[in-house]
Amino acid sequence: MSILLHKVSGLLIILLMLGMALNVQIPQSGAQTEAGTYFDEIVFIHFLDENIAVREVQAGNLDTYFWRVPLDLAAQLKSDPRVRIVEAPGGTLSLAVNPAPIEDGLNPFSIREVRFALNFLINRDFVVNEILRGFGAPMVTNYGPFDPDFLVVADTIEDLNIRHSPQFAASLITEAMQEAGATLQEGKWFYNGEKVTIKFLIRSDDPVRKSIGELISSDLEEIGFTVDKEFGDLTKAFAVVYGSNPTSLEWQLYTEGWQRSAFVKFDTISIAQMYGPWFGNMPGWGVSSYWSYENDTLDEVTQRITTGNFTSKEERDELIRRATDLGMRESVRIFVASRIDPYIASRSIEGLVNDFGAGITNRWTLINSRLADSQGGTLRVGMKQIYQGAWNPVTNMDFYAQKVWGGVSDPGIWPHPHSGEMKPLRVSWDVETAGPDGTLDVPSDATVWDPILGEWKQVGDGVKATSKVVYDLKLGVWHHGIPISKTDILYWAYFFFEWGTNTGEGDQTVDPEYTSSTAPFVESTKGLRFLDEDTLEVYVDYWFFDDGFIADYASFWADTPWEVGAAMEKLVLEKKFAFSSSASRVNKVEWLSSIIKSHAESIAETLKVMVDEDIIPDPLTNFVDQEEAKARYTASIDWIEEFDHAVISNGPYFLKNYNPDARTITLKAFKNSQYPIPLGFWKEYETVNTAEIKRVETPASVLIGDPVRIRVLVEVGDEPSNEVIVNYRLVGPDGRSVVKGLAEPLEIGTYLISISSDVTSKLDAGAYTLKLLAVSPEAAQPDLFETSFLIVETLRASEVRPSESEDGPALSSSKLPIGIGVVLVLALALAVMIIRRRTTNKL
Amino acid sequence: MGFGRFLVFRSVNTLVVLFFTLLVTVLILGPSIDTIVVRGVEQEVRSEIVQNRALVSGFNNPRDLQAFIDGQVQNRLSSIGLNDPFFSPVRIGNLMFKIMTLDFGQSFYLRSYEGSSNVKTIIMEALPRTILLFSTATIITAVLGISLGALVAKRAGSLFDKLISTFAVVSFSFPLWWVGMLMILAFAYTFPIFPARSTPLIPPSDPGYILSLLWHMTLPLITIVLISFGGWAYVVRNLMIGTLQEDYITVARAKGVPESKVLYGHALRSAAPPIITIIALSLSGSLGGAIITEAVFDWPGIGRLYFAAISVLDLPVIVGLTYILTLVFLLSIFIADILYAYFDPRVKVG
Repeated sequence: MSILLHKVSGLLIILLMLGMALNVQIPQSGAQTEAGTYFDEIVFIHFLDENIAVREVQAGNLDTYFWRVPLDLAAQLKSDPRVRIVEAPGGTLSLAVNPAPIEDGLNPFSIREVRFALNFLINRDFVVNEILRGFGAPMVTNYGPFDPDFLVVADTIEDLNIRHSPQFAASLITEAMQEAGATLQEGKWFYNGEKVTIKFLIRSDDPVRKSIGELISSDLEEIGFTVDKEFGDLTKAFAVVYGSNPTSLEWQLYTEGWQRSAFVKFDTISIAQMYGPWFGNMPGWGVSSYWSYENDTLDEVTQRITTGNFTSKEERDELIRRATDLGMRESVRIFVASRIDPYIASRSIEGLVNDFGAGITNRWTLINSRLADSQGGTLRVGMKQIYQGAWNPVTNMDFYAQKVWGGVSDPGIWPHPHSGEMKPLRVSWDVETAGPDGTLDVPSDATVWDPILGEWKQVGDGVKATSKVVYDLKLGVWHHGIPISKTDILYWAYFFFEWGTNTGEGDQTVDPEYTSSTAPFVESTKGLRFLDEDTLEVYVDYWFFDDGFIADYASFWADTPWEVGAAMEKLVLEKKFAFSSSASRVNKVEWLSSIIKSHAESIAETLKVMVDEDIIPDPLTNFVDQEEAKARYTASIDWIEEFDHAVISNGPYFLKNYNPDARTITLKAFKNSQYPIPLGFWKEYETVNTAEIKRVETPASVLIGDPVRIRVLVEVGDEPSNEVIVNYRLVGPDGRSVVKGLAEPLEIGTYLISISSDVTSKLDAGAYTLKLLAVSPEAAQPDLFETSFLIVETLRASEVRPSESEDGPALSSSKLPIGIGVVLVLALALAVMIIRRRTTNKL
Repeated sequence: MGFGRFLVFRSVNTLVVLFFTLLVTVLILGPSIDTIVVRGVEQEVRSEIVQNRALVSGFNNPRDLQAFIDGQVQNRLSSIGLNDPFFSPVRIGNLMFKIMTLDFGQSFYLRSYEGSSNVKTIIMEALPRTILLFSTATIITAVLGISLGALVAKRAGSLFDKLISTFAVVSFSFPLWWVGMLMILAFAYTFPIFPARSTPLIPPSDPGYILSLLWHMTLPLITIVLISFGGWAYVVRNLMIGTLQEDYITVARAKGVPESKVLYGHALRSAAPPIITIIALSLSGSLGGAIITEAVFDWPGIGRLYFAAISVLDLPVIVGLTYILTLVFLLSIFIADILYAYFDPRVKVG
């Protein structure tokens, strides 16, 4: 028996050693070193059902789930000690209003005043507090409180004084409807003897939108409209809303929902998407045979924003304000609320980074998260979908693939998760610009790839560009151990020019998706040259008032080795695969995906041909010798044979395995001394340094004609700060704005609001509300604060009344009802006690 | 009618039904889906543009941007073959011919987990999984239900009979996915005996894969069987009760034929035709999977594929699935008819 045990244990030891030997075959050319990540491994596991995924996190079988948690579950989960719920700005909810006029009837929404009145009919607070269960914020225009541009439009929003006031809405509607010839009979609107009916398509596949639809329907019925509710999903919306001529009035209201667009500091596009008729996202939808909503002013303003037709940030902000004001007044699209998406993670995981765009489902979480007090281990991430579309470096990956790719690949430039500013990661930059109106000389030895001649061409004399960007590249090493070099950048620059230019019929290097979307960049790129092995100079005809945006626009970076790109290109040119989904359907070939085993094998076969036939791609013939090329080809072939995929990149993890049967993807930490981003680099982003108004010192009352000085105490990340923008507005008892401006910084952490005697002398007596908004430069999410004081006629000593205690949190007006409630409850309890005591005494 | 003529008649009948089912599917779905997909593509292109700030910045005037959007929309529409009007005979003719020959073409949006856009590959990836779970469950359910139904019929009116009948009514009234959720809560979390996810994390090349797969699929299998076998037993019981009162059963018993032979050899054989029909329909129906149940157990079968295809209006996949399932259904009916003819010779001459 003991001999048997001995043999078995010996066998086990051998197996263990073999296993270890297999496990250490991690590709690395440099010495083993500390990885850029805390976890050794990440496993992405497919879980379609959110409820089950949440249970898995609770049970400890998953560490996090890269999809939002259902709202009803999120509220319960907040008290579960095993998990944490992280909230992040989510999508937005709005109403599309059909303004098409009809000949033989009345579409009330063809009247601008009726559309605008809807703003006052919608109870946005109810939507947020009851329907969204607190996971949201009211929103009246394209920019909500979670958008960096909210500060730009805050005054514009306040000027319109949008609030929930059904009476005001009814008065606006009554006036407009009567003017249009409608009559109100027994509480219902009639036109030409017929009830005025509103066809309302309500999305029933989203419980939130269904409830919003029901709420607004009931409000519309209350003020006299007859509502014909129709329920349906996106398919029905495509047929009814987007697939019908607005004048056919198959719909008049529709509950829209929007995914959050990319989180950037300066938006230039969503305002056109939401308010610009020219963009084709307003009723009429850009279909030439349909009646279309038109507004020349909105077109002009939003086109200027989108195409960068402005000369300063101030001008761009003013355009944004004009578009917002017009869009809200036109009310063809009415915003209701901005969602907050809850995400779940195990309590045992630390270091989650909450991105204002994607929540915790981002690359920083993958890189920075860790087990408490330990390093190593496996992070298990649940995924809603695991494979939706091809992985290749040429076309955009799908939403889910991008989540995984974020761990595998480092971008050159990245947007700050909280401020949306462009930040250097693998490239740093120095921008020189003569824009918006001037130009710079492009050096004659700068080059571009000529797709007709098929060679790098010096631009020569007399070429001008608006901006120049010099990039310092942190090259590092590819996952298969080959150093990243300028040849990788050059190859992908070649690809950009070659495949981004359609030279006409017979051009084989054209992809229907890539070519057309790259052509504008190609046209504006005037030349590039390497100053040394890791310094690149790029000239572009592009200007923006923020250097980071110019650097982002002009950047060249490589996330895939050139030899893999060249092999892929060869396969596509041989019509065996296609780079894009469209091209794959047209050519009836597969969409090339480097993560798929059979595709990777084709890449390896092509690389073998390139080895056998001494092929070096044309754009690199002057930069790469045969030996270097063969070393690269061999390294990539070996990689594919070992891992069964061709995903080779430069990030802190490498892709170890894709298992289509199990629907899992496994990443391993890339431990290589040449990986340039150190462990803990992202730690500072764990904390969101939003501004917080800690205290506002307002007087209890102010005499008419007296000046007012109000101190505002502000912190960023629990430290007093003077880097914050504090915007204030004083609103009178009638809801109108009296005075507005920016508070001035005093000593550190303190701001001063001065309201002159000239202003107060013109005020009527009454309760005035001071609305404050503070934004930190490190986090674009503003802190909103409201407090109030009295303006009085008779002389009364103005006393300083801090609006909160020194050691307690701010008691903003929004928290006032809670305070009153607590006092009432205490008073009630006291009364009950007294009554009971008296009753007892009587007994 | 001889058996040969019967076979030919049934075959032609089946093919005609198959052809018209396909034609009706294509005609009904095609035009509306065309409209919807066109609008969908336009929205998709605009959404993508909104996400690509740098691209938009590259346009100097809105006309170029609009031209770009129009171009992208046209490219995508032509790549999925929507640039011809739907009623073009070439398009319908090609589509019908290809589908009849099992060439479903390429999907609009969906991909197999192996990266293929070939509709046949996508379907063939999901179909074996559905067969493995749902058809296995159906077979177990049928065997269990028929055996139990026959036993209960023999003891009609007994406590056992009442118990089974009650169980059948109760279990059949619960939605499968809901019971699935309860089973997961009970046996994956409260008493963690089975995993919640019904497919193993190890690759098929792993020696332990088959055992692991069986272990992972036990919970959904038990759930399906639990929900379904009562109904089967109840149906068989009712069929058998009538048969057991026939004169020839009484004669067989009087002749001293063993009770098990009376039950399974005589009564069950007589009741076999309707049972065979139910088996055939259940087996073919099982290939359709169950959308929500597959989602709950994370089982990537036909039900989920159907749901995904309908969600994104992937017409080639919808048509392909409909055709395959219709084909299977008609084949089941065809086989059931033949078996009917075997069990009851009056059928083929009727």
